[in-house]
Amino acid sequence: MKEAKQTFNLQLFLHLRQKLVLAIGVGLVTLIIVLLLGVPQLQQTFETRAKLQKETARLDKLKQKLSELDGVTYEPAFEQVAFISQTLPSKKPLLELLTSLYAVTQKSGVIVNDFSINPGLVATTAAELAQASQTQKAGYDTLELKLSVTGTFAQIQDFILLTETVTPFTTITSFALNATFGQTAEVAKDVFSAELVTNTFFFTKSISVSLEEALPKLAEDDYIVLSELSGYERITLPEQSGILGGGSEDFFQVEGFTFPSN
Amino acid sequence: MPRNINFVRERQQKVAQVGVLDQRILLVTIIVFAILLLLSLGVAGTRWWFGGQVRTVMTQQKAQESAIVQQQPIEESYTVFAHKLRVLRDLFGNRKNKQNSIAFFSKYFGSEVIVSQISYSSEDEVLTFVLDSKDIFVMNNVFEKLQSQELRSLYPTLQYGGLSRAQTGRYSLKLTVSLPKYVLQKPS
Repeated sequence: MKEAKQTFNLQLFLHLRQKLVLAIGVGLVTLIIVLLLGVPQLQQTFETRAKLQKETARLDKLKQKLSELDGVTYEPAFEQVAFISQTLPSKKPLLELLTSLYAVTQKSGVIVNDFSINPGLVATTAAELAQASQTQKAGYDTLELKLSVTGTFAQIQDFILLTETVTPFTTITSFALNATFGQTAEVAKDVFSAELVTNTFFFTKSISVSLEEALPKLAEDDYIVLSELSGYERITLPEQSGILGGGSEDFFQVEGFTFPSN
Repeated sequence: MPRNINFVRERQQKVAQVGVLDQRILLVTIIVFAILLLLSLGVAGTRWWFGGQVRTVMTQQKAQESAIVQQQPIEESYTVFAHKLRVLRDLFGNRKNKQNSIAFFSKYFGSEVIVSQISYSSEDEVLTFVLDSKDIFVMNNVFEKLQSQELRSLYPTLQYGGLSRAQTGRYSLKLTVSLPKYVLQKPS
């Protein structure tokens, strides 16, 4: 006779295999803990570690920058800040250029016959923007001066060399020199005339720096330029040192009004 | 003699064997659970430690940032200074060669030769001189000097021509110099 198939008795199973059931329970709890707590914790730990590395690197950069800032004031080049600012000003140096031109003329002995300067352009907004983007890229803009001078060859040569060794930074972009060999008067002998176009440069670049960005490093060429520039003649605008007149005349003649006496 | 058949005993032995196996499984499961729990606690502790480190670093960053902000005027002036210096460096080389060339050619041919015309254009970096001499003998000296090795090594692209004689008997010659690229050098 065929044996009847035994039916599964849960109660009997629970009674006989308590420990297995307990093991299955512990296993399930372990799985739940691993999935719900362990894995997220591990992910967050890696994320926090990555954040710590990132923030530590930023802190190092900040420390480095602070150290550079502390040291930069002791650098000899830093003493030239005012001079470089004078050489390449951040505004259109119209008055400075005229003062320099006057000084150079006096020193070289040439006579300025004529000069014209173009201090600004009347342009549409679109043209201004196009020009602004060009100058922004180059980092500078120029102020053009056209002039004609007369003098001896040596005087004109001095004038050319001196023009390029004064502040603000000026370069002769084109010139034409012609000699006039006088035949009659002694004074008119060997008089040269020169037509020059000069460009005076001014800084137009806008600079943005982030807090942790390192200070710009000066290259060897920068130090060479600094050394060359140190020989330049510094032309400074004369400052008004006193007030002349004022407060003593009554232009309006208001009846009954008198100026208070000091 | 009938055989003694005891099914209960066999069943008890089988149940005992299964019990031992279950005991082992439970033990292993508990050990795994304990290890994973410890690991989880360890991971949580590590995360807490990293979190503390991040907080410390952030605090230090704030202190450094405020110190940097206090020195902002120095940073501003130095950064502008460095950028201006770069612009000047680029502009500097372009014109130094012109200054050197004018000074060189105005002296090179001697006092009897007059530079009667100079023209310069910054766009193509070409300098043109017109040399003026009182007679052909002086001009002959000019030609000899134009052939010299010193001049050729300094200005390899030098060209000359357009020799002319004026009614006064003066000779003039045109020199065209393509200016070499100037390389910044340390002052000696």
